[in-house]
Amino acid sequence: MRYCLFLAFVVYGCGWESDGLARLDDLYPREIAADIVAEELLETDTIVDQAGDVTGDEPGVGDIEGEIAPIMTGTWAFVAEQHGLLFDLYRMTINDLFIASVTGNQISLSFCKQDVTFQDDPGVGNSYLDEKTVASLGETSIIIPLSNKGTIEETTVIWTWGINPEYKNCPLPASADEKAVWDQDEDGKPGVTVHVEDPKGDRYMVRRVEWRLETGEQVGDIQMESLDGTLQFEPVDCTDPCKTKCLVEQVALGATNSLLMTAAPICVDQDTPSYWRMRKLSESYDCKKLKEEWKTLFNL
Amino acid sequence: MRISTVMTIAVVGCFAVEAKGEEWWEKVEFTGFLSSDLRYIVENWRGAYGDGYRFEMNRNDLDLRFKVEPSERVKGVVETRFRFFGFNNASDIPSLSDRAKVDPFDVRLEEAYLEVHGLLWDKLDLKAGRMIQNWGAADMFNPTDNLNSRDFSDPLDYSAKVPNQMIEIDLYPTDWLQLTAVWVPLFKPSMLPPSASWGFAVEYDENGCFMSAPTPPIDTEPHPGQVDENGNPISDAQILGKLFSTMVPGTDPVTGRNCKLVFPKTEVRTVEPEWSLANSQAAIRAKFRAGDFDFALSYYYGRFSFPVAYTAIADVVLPGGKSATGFSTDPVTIDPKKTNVKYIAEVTYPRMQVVGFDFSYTAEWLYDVGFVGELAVIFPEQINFGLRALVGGRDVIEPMRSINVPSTPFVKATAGFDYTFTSWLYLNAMYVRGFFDEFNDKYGIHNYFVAATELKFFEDELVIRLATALNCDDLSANLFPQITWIAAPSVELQTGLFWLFGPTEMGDPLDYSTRSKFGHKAAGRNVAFVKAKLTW
Repeated sequence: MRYCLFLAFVVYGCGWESDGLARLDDLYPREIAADIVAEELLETDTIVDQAGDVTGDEPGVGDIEGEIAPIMTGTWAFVAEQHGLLFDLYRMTINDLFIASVTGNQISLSFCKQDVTFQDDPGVGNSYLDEKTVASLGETSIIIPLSNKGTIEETTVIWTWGINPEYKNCPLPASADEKAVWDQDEDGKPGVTVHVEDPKGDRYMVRRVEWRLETGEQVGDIQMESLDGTLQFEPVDCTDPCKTKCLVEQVALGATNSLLMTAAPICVDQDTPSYWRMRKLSESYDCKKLKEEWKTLFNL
Repeated sequence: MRISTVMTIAVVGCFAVEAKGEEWWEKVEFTGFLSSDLRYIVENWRGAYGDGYRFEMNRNDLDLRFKVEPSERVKGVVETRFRFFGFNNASDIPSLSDRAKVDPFDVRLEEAYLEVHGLLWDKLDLKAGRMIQNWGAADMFNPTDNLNSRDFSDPLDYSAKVPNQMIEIDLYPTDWLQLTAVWVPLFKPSMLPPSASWGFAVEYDENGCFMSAPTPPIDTEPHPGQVDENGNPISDAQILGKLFSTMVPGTDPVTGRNCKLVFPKTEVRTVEPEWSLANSQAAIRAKFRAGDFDFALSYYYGRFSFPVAYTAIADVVLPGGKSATGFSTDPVTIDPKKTNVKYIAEVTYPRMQVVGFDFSYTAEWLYDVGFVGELAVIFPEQINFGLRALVGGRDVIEPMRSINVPSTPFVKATAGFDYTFTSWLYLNAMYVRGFFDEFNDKYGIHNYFVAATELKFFEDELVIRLATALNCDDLSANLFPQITWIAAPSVELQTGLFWLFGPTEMGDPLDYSTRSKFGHKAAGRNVAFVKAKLTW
């Protein structure tokens, strides 16, 4: 009898189990997996359930599917790789480079360098910015909000030179004495000073680009490492003679050479897509390093 | 005067009044002790950064035990203890008017039970009330002794227990057999030393920079098919480490320190069992005597009284993250310039069944060496540890589940001997498998060598005792030398040292099993002490 009683207790005790994860889910209910875009963000061919059983095909990048919100926090390099046509004719590429700081729910872009190259030299229009001007432009960050899921979704970014922020959505000023004009590089000239090589001189100008960043291809599982997406252009007010669409709006407010008063139109190259790209960097990475390494970093 | 004190005196007084009339003082036995205990921490590396070289204890105890036998068949026992802690708790002017703050104390009822012999049958005894059970034959390390939880609030006293209300029935069918059945209605957990919180503590250096966080019991081997972005197998522990190093900016890759990381209000909560009949404890024992050989078979149904890791959640707010709502799990003011982590861990008390065997044998043929042994086969409840990590209120990794305590039965045991070589030399040595707080979780069951030797002089007036416990697996140890002087009849003066050996840091910060048993800060502090005790 005692033996039976003993066995009864032992059998009763079999199968005892307390599950800590179930308790956590009761205390802190999770959001439904569909709301979290793991499957959109990860290239994965393998699904691993909570028991660790593989139910998919061969493993791919970021094999752990499910309720994962990849983390972007940290320092990144950002480039807007823009393909245009100078005078709607000469193929050119403008690479605007930024150091991006991702914290909380936004990306903060700080301008670092602009690189302009031409497929065929048009003979005119080559211009550059000096270090002081670049630094001044870099002091005004461009903010890109992240989605509630902590990721980049389709978003519009407006970047201006020499325009007071509250006028960023207004038609570009036509003269230097308008309120919208801001001596952003603090050189005593209206707008931003661009040095032109041919014809040689300085142009004082205002400029605006409006980029539409489309959701891109993202690589990495827990921590994002690279993001690439297509870039579209949505000019606010474009009156230049581009048959299609202008890539950038710009107005010259003054110049050292009257020939420089007309800024050459830059149209969108419809045959060559433009991209935005981000690459994860270490905390200590800075603009100086980016200037040296950007081609390798972005494989451009 | 506190209500508990009044009730204690009333109970004792009732016994005394009841026993009056017939030489009542012959029916009352009054014993007890008065002790003082002063301890000083003699290091500064086993606590918070730089904490040490200070008094740790300044305690006075008054223990009063009354045993009343109003008749041959009835006995009542009350033992109460007044404890004065000796440290001032008053921190403001109003508190200085409160004696309880300036001179804090508490009153404990250690035992309060009645015993009836020959209830319904002359071979049946009943005992009911608040009591302490002592099962098992070995000295101190008794895996078959589970009815009372342990009181380890004093790290130098491994023998203390937490009293509990229970009902005991003893049967004596023969003179060589005793049967015992005990029922304990409500579970009480073991008391832990003050250093136990270091098992779950976040540590900072002298500059307030983060150094280490508690290691959760998660898997260190990859699950099948679990790979990283390069297709290499990756374990839950590695995922957590990768999350930590990539998510939290400012971590020094060499030292792992981070001055931009803070863990405000880390909590460790206990998940207590409900007060239901199913959560009560019960045990039965059959004790046999065969000449010089005593042995017992026992069965226990109840819970393990030491906490086992159950859940953990890390709730992260990144720099610049929203502070209006605070943490998802608990609204707390956060530092917007740092990465803030609210870490909440839970521990639970697993159910278990224990089948036990213990024996004691005095080998007359071998110079009267005393041998003892205990073996407990434990059938545990499986405990699955769960962990989640949130950033901005959302899970950022697949929630983790690991089997912290498997349901596989395991063994805890003690085997040892003691021998008095001469009138002045005594030795007690034991092999112990499984320390008090081990439950075959991710830390595992470890093997120990425990020994104590005594040198006695001047007709036992002076005793030098050296005790030690060695973890044979990680080679950490404690050493406990003491000198006791019987300065006068019933008066003991004692001085000694308690020293712990072993690394304070985890062998692998992501592997729960690499904790040093006696080296880890949770094991306690190195102290020197002086004690005085009067016993009657």
